[in-house]
Amino acid sequence: MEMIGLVFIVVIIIIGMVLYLSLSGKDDSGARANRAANAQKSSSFLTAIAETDIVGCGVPLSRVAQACVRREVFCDNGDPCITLERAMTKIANETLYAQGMKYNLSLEGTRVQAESDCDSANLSVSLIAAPRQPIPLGNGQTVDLILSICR
Amino acid sequence: MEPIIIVIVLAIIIGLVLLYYVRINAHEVKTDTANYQAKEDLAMLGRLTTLPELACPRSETVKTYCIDLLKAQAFASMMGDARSGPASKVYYNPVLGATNITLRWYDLAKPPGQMAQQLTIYSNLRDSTRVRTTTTYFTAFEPVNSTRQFAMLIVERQS
Repeated sequence: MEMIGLVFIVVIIIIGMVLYLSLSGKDDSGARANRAANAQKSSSFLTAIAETDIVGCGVPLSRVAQACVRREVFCDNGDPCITLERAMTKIANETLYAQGMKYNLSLEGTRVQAESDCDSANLSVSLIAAPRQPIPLGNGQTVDLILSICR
Repeated sequence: MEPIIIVIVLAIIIGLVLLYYVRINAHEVKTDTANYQAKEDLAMLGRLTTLPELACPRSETVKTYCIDLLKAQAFASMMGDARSGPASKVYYNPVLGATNITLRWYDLAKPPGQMAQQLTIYSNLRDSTRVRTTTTYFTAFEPVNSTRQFAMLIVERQS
């Protein structure tokens, strides 16, 4: 009889430990939904910025990015990479930074980069890789616009 | 005495199991709610940008979500009109629901800090205390000059 009692006590202790371990974990259901929402927001940002017309050029930012990669003289005969970086910085500061987000927005394979105090060590880790917007260069090649949001 | 102790112990075990089951269910409900809200937000965006009263010309909708600025201004004016507004809200309620929808677009020609212009397209929130806000970026098309501007859609929904 005493053994049965001991067995019950052991069972209770084990169940209690299992419950404690499983219930003390962080509830990440909201965090996962947030990460997906942030990824969707980042993707929509890249799609929208690529289609925004650049003042004075009358063409979308994606066209300026093409000119930058191909090293063409463009628009106001200036450097298209500088035009591109200025436009990216202006838009990102007015939107992402104004909403309290630190960011790193860059054109892959170039020095074109717009960022706001974003240390690479603080780039947010998410279940989905940093969104990219491919910009066609012709001949089947593309260059990616990449956005990373910092913690 | 012993049977009483056994009953007490069994009751404790059953109580712990029930507690565990309730917590698991609550977690699943939270996850399902978060997923449903995320899907609803995407569905709302799709409905908004395909409404003929707001949508861009077909040639502009190929690459991105797009809203026609002139149409948006007309839509907002109709919603704000004292005569047509209330009936319009009843008409659009099945599509847009109990939401506030604000359009904000950015003119790159203006200096930083003065680029943004804002317009409330639709205002039908019933309780402003329990609100969930979603923002999405898209293109605002200005049909007179055929220019595309960077824009943001802010949707406040009843939560």
